[in-house]
Amino acid sequence: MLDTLAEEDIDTFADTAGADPAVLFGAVYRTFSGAVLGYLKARGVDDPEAVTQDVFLAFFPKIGELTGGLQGAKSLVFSIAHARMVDYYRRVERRPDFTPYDPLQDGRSTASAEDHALENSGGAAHLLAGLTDEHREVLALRVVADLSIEQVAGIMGKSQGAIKQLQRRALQNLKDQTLRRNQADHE
Amino acid sequence: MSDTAGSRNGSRDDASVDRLLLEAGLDDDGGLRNVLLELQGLAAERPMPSDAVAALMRPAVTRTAVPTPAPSHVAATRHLAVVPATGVMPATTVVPEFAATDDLAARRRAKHRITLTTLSVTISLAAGGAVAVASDQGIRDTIGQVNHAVTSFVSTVGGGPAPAPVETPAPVPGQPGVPAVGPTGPAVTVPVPAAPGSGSSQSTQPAPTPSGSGPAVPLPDLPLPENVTPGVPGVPGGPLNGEGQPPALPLPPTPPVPLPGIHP
Repeated sequence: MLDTLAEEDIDTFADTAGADPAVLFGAVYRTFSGAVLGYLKARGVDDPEAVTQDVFLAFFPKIGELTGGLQGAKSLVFSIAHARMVDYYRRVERRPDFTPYDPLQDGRSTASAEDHALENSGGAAHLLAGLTDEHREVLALRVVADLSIEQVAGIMGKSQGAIKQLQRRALQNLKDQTLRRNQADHE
Repeated sequence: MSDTAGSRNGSRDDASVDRLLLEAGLDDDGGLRNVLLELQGLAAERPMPSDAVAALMRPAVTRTAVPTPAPSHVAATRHLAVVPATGVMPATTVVPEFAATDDLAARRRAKHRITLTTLSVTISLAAGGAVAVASDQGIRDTIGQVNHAVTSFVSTVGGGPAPAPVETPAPVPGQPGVPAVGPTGPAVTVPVPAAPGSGSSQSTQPAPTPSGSGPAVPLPDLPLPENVTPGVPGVPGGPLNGEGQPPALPLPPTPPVPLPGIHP
């Protein structure tokens, strides 16, 4: 069903590009809002639902200057989402006292028994726990947002070769983390 | 553990994860693959749009829509209210509403006619009252001078047919007392130029005044109705006439008419 909807939206974008912005905006929202929410959850941003809406509100005024059809819109949407994530952590670093500590949202914590217990509670940041910020970002953009190497390179401001290397190391680290977690479970 | 992952796009998620592992050169040991599928599952839930976002998704056409054609129930007033707001009038709604708009226009025209008629009657009565006032000899001379000045000005400016355009009742009250200096009867239709003809016999200064001040008399625009009040004895802007009868309409006091060259 999602595939069918996506195809219709893609057709909408292809056929009516340049027409009513509201129609294009609706197609972009339907296609990518889930991925944006998932990306923000994976990155541990506070109140990811609200930030998702902010991303699309920021995206709407830029519809007129869009190029590249649906994929162009996808790149722009996640550029905005990435910027919101960066802003969020800058605010957290500046005013840590004002941010209530939420272990579920703290991606910096290491895997522990508590993390395992909370795996199915909805908190997603633990999935990428123990990885560096750049590694977490590559995996969130590649896996959750389903962006191409080229699109991730554009968002992170790196070359495609650098992104490939980052991705490889990130996956290796994640594998190691998962192994350690599984070993801890079995002990 | 990963019930949600792959439940909707199972094959697509698995394929993309496998492709990713292949690109990274990592064997699928199960654990990593499951974590990646779980990560992908985070994107499966589409959030409800907020009010602001939902508003942006509404097509522009519906936001400024003109009521769809429903001839049987679209009221004339509602149609008229809609048209100025959108500026769009679908052809299909014009026909059933045309009768209503036409009636309204007809009523407007009738109202305008009534207004015009009332105004004309008022002016005529005022002119008649002015005439009655002018019947007084003391005033007649003064007004006769004004009349001659006006007449000469009109004939100078208007050329040959100058007398004709002045035949309407409107400009007549502009110089109250000027028209029909001679006749004291209903002077509504007596044109100004006719007055000099009859008034010359009574005026003591017919020729010199007009000739002396003819083309150089810059008459200002005289609003209706108006009175020549300065220096006119016996007529302090009030409702008097030589016959001692109050005019049909009281003459409103007005500022004096500056007519250089005319000295009462």
